[in-house]
Amino acid sequence: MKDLDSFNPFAVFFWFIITAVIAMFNLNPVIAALSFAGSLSLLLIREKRRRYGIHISALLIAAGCCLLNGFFSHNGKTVLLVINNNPITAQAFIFGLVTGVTAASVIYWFSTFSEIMTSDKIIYTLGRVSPKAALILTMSLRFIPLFIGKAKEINNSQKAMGIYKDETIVSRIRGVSRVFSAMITYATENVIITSDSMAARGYGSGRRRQYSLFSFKPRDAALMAVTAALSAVSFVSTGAGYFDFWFYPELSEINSGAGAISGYICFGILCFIPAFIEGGDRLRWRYLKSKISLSHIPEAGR
Amino acid sequence: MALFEVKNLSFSYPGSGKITDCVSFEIEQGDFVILCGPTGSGKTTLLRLLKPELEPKGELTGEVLYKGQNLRELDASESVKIGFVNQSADHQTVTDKVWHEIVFGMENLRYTQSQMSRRLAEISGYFGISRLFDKNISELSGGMKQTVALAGVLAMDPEVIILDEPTSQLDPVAAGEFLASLKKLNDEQGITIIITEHRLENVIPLGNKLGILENGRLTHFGAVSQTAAQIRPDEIMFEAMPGSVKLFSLAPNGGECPLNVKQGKRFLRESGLDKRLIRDTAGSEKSKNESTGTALKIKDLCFRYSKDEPDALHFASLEVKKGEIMCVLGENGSGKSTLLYAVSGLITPYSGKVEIFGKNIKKYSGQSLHDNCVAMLPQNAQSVFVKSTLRDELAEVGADFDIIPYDLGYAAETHPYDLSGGEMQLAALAKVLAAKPRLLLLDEPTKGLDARAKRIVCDVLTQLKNRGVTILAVTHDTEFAAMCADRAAMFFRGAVIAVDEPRGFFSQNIFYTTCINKIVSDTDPRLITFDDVKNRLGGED
Repeated sequence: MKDLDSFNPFAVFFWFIITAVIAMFNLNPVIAALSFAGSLSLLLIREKRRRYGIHISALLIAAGCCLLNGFFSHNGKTVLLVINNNPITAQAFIFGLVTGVTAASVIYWFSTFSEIMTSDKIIYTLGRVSPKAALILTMSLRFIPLFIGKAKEINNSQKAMGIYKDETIVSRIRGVSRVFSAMITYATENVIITSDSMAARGYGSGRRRQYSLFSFKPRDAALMAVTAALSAVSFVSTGAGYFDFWFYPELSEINSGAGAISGYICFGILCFIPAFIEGGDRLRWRYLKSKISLSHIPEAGR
Repeated sequence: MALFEVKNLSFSYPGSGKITDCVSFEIEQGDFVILCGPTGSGKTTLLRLLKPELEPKGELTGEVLYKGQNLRELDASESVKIGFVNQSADHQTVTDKVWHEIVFGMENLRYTQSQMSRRLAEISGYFGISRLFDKNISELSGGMKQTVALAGVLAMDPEVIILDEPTSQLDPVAAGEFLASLKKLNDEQGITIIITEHRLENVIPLGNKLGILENGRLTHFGAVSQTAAQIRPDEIMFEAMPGSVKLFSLAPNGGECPLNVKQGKRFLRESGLDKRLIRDTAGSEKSKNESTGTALKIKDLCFRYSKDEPDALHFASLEVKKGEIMCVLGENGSGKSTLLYAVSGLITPYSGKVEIFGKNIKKYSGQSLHDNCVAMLPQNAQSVFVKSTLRDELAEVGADFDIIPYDLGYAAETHPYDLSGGEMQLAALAKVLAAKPRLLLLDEPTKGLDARAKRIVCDVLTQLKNRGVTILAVTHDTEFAAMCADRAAMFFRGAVIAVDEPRGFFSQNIFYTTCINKIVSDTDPRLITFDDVKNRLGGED
């Protein structure tokens, strides 16, 4: 059981958006580091097996930002070397690095987010705002695989009939346009059946009431409240300029006033909330599992 | 008071003749009504006239009463008590997930959350589909898709469910399961069922009323066994009747008309028909096909769709002689269609050899495999068409209407999608024949066809064979194979496990054989079609 998945999608969505927004709009080494640490630990806690692909792409992005900015931005005071009369500066590298780490953390956040927010949950969240849009989305999600499958089928049929030539580029383009026109006919013909089926089940008889698989439990309210409180502090810090940081011409000092520190702490907690939830859940399960195996429930013996 | 009272109902589309012609009948609560009729007899129109939201636009006289109230006066919450399921599993689903499809109707009727949750739980439990709850509908099999569509209708607590050929796109096993679930709903929940079907063998034993439509007229309507017994051999629908009903017509003894194999066997004994069928069959006919040469040779073919899946073809071998019709029979997912894909060059097997007219398929470069050589008619005939009339369709590929031994000229200006199942199959065949193939591959050529269309397709194929075309068809239609195959092969787990001429093939099968054969196999297993039985009896006079 992955506990974050069982929270109400709306609460998860709320937490995610707030955290991502703060992380993305503050270009600050501390924020970047916190965001990176939080997102990476969440990813590592949740993953069932090592996913090298995502770490490689995160690394490439971070390194890419660092190098690109380092070599193409010539701001900054500390010149490391000069190439073709262009100064390469330490500040430019550091700016690139902070941007890159932020970007990498956003990749990690989104990766976990897309894993948690299945289409059901996105539709549920969207449905809170616009039930019609949610219905259109779910219908599209049904239609797309159907349409792609059909396109393949028609393409294969045309090929296997052996009437059409596909040896030259012109004939191939003709083939594609033929499949396309058949797809249009197919879609328009069959949409009638769908609309009949909707009418037959009372669609259009009035406002729909959206069913949700997800209930809103006290812990969802708690998650949202905590998120709201912590992010409020972070926003105030942002607004007050505590998180401001300059890279050029020289790196500015990291603000270590009480306001900034509390802002950092709050944002840090915000970043680690999901990891706490998941990690705590793991521990609880380990504990429960030992109990389950000791108990004499016949089911547990299987 | 009857549930449905249909009084002198006539209907015509603007500018056409009567589709429904002065139809009257009554349906009681708890009935299981089977409506059948040849394609184009107005079955679908009649069903749609029973469901207010789906009423076709046109000229209507007479009336339909639902529990004594005119159908048109029902409000939305009453008219959803009439559920409707049609044949296209893919297109009648609205949403992407199983659970969402089931609640869709309840959402429209503004049920409360707790009502919906409870109903969802009940329905999932009833159909045993809790495991599929979160699944995408597109991942399900055709049979499961239809079950989900039925569940979506059932969620609204209908009193009657109308089904328009719900199993025509399903394989026999899935069709049987779906019909069994309808029977269960009828028996255990008392839900009235009104169903049209063309594969009558499975459905007729389930119903209690049978109606037969011909050209919009209801020619018969009444209790199933009486009605079935009344159908004369010269009527169009006779051909579609189950084997037991056909046998009954040979010796109507005034008793109850047998509807399934069990009753058929009893009838055979009691009527004495079995004695008349016994004949010395030593020296039975040899296969007439003494053709020379091999059209297709498949040797130890292996193929899989992805690395982690089991082989779809596993050392499959088969030889097809020139000028014969070979039918490959087997259950769904046994890899039959994959075999055709391999022969038509759509897929490349990872080992094994395909030889077409003595030449390895790999040696055919580019188009040469298809020029005057191999062509495949796909399972879904709709996917063949790209133009807006049949005439354009054939003109585009340079074919003419007389390319097939059947006259389709009357449908020249019709949109291919508007053709009936049988016409569409033949039209697709005409298009495929434009490449003048010597080896014709057919994937489920009788899917969704009624008995008459099946017979026509069969005749057309036989005539093509006489013109020298070799035909390889995969099908699960045993009746079709018994009617027109020169040899039949059994496909199982990716390989051909038995090949024989049909008489030998079916006489040795117990389960995988025709309905007639199941009934008369105790008497003589070599009788596989109704015509065989008739000829045997005819011979005695």
